Amino acid sequence: MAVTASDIDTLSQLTDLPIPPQYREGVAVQLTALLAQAELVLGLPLAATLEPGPVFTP
Amino acid sequence: MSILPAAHEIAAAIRSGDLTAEAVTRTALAQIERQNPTLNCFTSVHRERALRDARALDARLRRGESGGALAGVPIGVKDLYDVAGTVTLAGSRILRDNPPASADAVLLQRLRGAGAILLGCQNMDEFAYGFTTENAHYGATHNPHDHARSAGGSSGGSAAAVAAGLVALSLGSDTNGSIRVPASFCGVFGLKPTFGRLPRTGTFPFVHDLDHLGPLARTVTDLALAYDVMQGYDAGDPACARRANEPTIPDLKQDAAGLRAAVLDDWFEAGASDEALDAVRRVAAALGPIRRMTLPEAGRARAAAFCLTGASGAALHRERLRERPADFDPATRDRLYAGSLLPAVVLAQAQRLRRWFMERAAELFGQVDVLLAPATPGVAPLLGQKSMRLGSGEVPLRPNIGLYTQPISFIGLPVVSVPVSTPRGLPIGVQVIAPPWREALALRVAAHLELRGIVGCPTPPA
Repeated sequence: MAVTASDIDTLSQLTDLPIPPQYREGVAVQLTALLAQAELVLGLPLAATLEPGPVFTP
Repeated sequence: MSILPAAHEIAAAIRSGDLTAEAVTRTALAQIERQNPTLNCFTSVHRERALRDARALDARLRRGESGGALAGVPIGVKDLYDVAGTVTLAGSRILRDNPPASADAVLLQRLRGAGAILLGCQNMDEFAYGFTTENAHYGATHNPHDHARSAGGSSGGSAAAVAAGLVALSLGSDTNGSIRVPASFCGVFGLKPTFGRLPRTGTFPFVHDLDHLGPLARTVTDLALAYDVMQGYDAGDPACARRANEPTIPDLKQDAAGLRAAVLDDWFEAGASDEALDAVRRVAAALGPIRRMTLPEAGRARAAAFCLTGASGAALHRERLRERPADFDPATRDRLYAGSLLPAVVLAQAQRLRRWFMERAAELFGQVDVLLAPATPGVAPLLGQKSMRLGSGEVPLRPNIGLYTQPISFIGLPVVSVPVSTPRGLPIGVQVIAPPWREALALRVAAHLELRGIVGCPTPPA
């Protein structure tokens, strides 16, 4: 589902990050793309015991 | 000299007295003066400092002192490395108001300690967030092989300067592919070491748990030489590993025949151009029987890196987004805003997915020594190009150039990007991917391929 400039306005208020009106269309495009990637991330079932992975233990 | 010789050749000639550091530095500066107006590799050139350093090195050599492994080698650094007395811009307008750095970045200190001569700071995508080095503030860096094409990014200035022979060695950074992508497009060697291997002290960050630093060069020996000089713990980087130095130069002459290599299929082939697939085939064929392996869910790993990058970058720049949004490069600003709106649950899952994906990669390394994959889906795109062919579809260019690099840096594996020539004269890179902390193995394979003429840096047209 595509994010709209109006969604960006709402989200910016909720997160206390003002996003000027002239940028909202562009941000909506980027957030739509990001959420498509997020869906892939959330779509992989992982074992409850799986710990977050720091890259390598220094 | 019309193009600078390799770094190890320059250093040898200067140590033996066949050349002086000052003469080499003047040659390199003249090359920059001639070519940089077209290529736009440098955001600043430190002429006087370079000549002063070169004369000091010559004086030390005349006194019989050691010149160092990189004696008199002209180098450049991506403009996110601190250079004492210079403002670290990270490709931005916003940081211009910062005070100059008080000291060189640790890796630069180590290279200079080995005799290298810094010539200047190199162009990049703003805050390292991009793959094309089309910077709204400092202009685009042009590819030395075709000036109408991108040098790649975000270390585009660093790769192009090496490819054009303006410096013998550059330092870049790689969060999602920013050494490997420009190395591929410009036809040079690039090393992204294991996460935590080289200290990032004195560099401007992007994504703390994905940022890597590394060298770009025209030969594998130069890459290894620089890497060996730069190894070692530094307390200024909390992610830096307390590991003993593991020199790679001694291993370069070991034959790589007998090593087990596999070509990554599935995600790493889907959508790749014929040129990319052919380059991988040629590299694989030189390493013995071709085996194919699947690194499962690489697309999701790439998606996780994509999300972590957006959100972490947004957190880093939140105050700047609030205070000076108009001063960002528009391409950077919109993505950072979007990253700030990503639900936290995605980031938590992305970090757990990282563990899962690391385990899958470890299983592959139980069966083979190195993995091979294209560095980029195709050769360098045109500057200003908005979309690219991926398989049978057309996709936005900028977010998709790193399709094959992002899953690998996501889990911090060491990679050497090796340049392969294509029939139409544009180079393309192949990733030689090794298990964690086995940079020596990736470099040894790269040296094997270089010795046999399978890979190597093409000379750009005059």
